[in-house]
Amino acid sequence: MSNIKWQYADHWRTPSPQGPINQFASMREMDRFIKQIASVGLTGIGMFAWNLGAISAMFGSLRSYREFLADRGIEKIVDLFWCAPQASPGMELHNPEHAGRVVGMLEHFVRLADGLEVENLVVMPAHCYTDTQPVTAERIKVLADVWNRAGRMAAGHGLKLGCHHEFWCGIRSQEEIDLFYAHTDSDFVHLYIDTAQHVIAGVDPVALYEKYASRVNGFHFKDTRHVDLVEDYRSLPDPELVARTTPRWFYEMGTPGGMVDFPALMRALKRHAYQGWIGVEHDKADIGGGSYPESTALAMWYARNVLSPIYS
Amino acid sequence: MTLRYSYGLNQWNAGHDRFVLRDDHVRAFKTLNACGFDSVEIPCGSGRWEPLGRKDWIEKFYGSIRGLKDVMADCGITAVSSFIFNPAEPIFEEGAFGLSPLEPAHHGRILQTLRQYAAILPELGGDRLVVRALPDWSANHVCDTATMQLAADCWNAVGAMAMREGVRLALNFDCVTMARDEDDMAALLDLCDPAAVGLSVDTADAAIMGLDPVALYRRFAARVIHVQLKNALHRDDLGEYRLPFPAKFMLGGGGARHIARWYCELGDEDGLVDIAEFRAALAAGGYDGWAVVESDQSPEPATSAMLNGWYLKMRAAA
Repeated sequence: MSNIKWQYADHWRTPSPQGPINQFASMREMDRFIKQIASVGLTGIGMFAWNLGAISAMFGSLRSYREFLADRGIEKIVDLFWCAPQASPGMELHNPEHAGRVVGMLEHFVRLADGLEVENLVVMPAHCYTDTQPVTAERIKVLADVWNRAGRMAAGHGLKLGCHHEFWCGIRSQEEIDLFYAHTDSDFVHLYIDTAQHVIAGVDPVALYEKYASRVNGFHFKDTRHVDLVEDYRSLPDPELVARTTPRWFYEMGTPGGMVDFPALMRALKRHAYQGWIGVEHDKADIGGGSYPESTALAMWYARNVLSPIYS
Repeated sequence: MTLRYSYGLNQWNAGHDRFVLRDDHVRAFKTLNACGFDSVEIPCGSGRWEPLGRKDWIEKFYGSIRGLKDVMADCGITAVSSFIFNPAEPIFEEGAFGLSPLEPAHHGRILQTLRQYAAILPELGGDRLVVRALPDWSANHVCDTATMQLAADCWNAVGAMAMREGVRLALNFDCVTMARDEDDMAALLDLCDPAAVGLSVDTADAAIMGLDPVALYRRFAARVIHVQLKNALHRDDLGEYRLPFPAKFMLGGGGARHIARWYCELGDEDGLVDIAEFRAALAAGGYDGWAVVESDQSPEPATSAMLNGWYLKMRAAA
């Protein structure tokens, strides 16, 4: 059995007579989406937690959805992803008084997925940088406390909590990441590495993995052609869309000019005998005429022909 | 039965100025390989925007035929199963703007044009030259013996030439051709040398014409040497193959019903062709050769390739 299984992370949009639509538009579109990702060798799927409701409505239950997936070659939902990019008066991740609300809301999603063998609850561990400021050691400690609680809650339901650090997240630099993991419980708070996001933030994902290998519970493998050199991460409302220097941040693995050293990362995974899922993600792949289906096929061509021979 | 799948590049090559860059080709090759395909069918073409369409353009663009083969191999594509040629399309390099197998004066030019493809196919791992057998429907032509003999003379000569290169010629009848039923096709096939000239069955075009592709295959099983495997969403119930420029006004423009898309992927729930039944017929008939999967008019070529790849792996193989 292979050590690595590949899963696909939810982002999807394709042309239709109604304009661009995603897989939640209809059962037919979901069918086409799942068949497309299964066709290129993906066997799991990551989902935004807030889409579980749409899935239940479409299929009657999440168990029915799992059967639908299995019939098309997809084993299961592997990850649930959640984030709160903006702070709001009633929901500040770095406000200790709101911790119960945060954990309770996440437990709602985790309970929905009970029995589905979902493996990871993946979160962005802070609001965007601008809304998290001032990013102080004290504030990072507060955030660590929230995620320690959430991690214990998730573990109680059989899930590992993984923190996914967007380049524009309140915890983004190597120093901030190190401080955060120093304050979090290694049994309950894991690191979920998004290769492109770390590179954009100036953090080497290979070195990051080497440092935290024992705490890593998953990956999003995607590439970028840019490092944020001018504090684009502070852009509002969404640095992934409105940064003044870079209209498109993310590309599929193997893209010309890609800055992520995936072969080096694969060699590191082999050294540490990583076993588990790797997520393929194509956030905003259609900016500038790109295509989610093509990016997915190209990424899996790269995974199969370049990465798997290194470690599979 | 030994069925070897290939995939038509025509879905990427949607007209002038498209699918020109080498990076476009590489992305298509990798996409197809990721979907489980290792061979492609190339449409013949003309002009600087068709760098795969002719031997001279391949050599200019890739340095040599070997150069193209190496680029394909790097992407996991090991063969060009076939070239497909429509004599009515312009050939700018040869000053040809509408050759026809029904014009004896054109036979030599068609033969000369096709020599290049027969010559390079073996190096590219392929062995089928597919041609549009007859022109569009026209009130001035009928599929009588005299007319079919004109076409047969042309294709017998091409077939003999190709056979000397180890390539076989397959006659393709699309849904807007002047041949409207199996008897029309038989009228031409019967006049062609079975050793050199065979039939290419296109499942979707047969369905659009109102024919049963399974019955079509069964009738001509002994002559079928090439299959184009695709599905269709509509029949030409209005007889719009009679429109002028039917490839544009009917297939491209959608005809009077404004049909947005005539073709679809193999497993589409609305598809008219029972692909599983057709495959079973191929097996029963002992078909041994290429099945070229196509998705003409695909709005998203990668999606079509992925859905077709999924169908062949998850359903057709079952």
